[in-house]
Amino acid sequence: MSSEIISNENLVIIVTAIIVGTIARLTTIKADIRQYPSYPNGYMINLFTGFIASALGAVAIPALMAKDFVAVTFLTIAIQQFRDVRKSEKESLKELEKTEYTFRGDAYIDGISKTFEARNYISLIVSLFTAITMRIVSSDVQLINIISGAIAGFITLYLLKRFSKGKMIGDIAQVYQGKIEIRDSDLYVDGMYVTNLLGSEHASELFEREGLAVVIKPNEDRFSITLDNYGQRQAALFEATRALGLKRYHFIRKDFEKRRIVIAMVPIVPNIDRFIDVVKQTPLLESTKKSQDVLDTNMAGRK
Amino acid sequence: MPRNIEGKYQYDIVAIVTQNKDRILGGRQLTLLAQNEEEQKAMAEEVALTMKASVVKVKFGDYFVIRML
Repeated sequence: MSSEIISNENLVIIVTAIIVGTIARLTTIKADIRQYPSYPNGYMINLFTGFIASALGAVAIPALMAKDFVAVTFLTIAIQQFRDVRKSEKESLKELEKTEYTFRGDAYIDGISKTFEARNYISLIVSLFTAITMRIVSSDVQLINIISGAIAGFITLYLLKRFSKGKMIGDIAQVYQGKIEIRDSDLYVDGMYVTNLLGSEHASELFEREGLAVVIKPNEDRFSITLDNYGQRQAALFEATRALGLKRYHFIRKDFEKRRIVIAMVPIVPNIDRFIDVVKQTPLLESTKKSQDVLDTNMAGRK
Repeated sequence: MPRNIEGKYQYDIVAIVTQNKDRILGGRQLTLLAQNEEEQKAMAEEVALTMKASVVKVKFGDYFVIRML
């Protein structure tokens, strides 16, 4: 009967690995100015999937030690489960598209859902490394096993976080306030033509009074390939409208000659500093990265 | 110019407000004849507000009321 019950040693390994793995997921959930996932239900869902991921990683080592090699194949179930996480995030975000001020766009949704999938793998790997370390150390004093497992888990978490951390628009471009000018029914920002949709006095007065614009200027010409991408620009506009709200009108315009991008809109909260900040903090989407410099990870430190 | 949710430019010309009756050639959109520029502006703005659309003043003096689909 006692052989059918999990040993105390294995139980400590599994519980410690699950806790460390779940903490790993907790630290990778960011509820910042971009406000995704939403608090508290989105937070709860992601924390729980992280818990499941770490449980899968935690039981792999005790299963192997029991010579139950077939049991390890359930890791393939984990992969399937994480793919479902990505799929459900994608579906959920796509359904929300029509309720937002502007839409996120397929490229941004793809990037967000991939990140969610990847963070579950982080939980799994962290708990797996925690369990492996505890098994290797195998001290008679359980506390030593727990501490060494936790240290190994957090080092793994730190390395994986650095590896998976992407860059932001602010890393490759200058973002500054643009000067709004209205000539007849045309809108110009820093002398660059944006639109002729301000034909009514109401529109031109509104834009002159409350409109805000920022200019994105890449640090190097080749970064324009990434920044000019429609999905990337849409992501920046989306973040700006979500942070400041949108009263009326929003425009994005490219200037190929001077390699600039303009985002102009009439926000609900006219705060230019927040506008600049949120555009700077818009992530560079994986699907739009075309330059080697941008593709580099932050493994060895942010440049 | 903004694109719609599918990433395409899709506009509908809701109305054209002109002072030149020779330009009224038919079509699906509403075409209004104004007596002067004040009236032209007011008409375009009224239609735009009602239809939640934008006004474009074109170089030859007419006003287009256009709405993104």
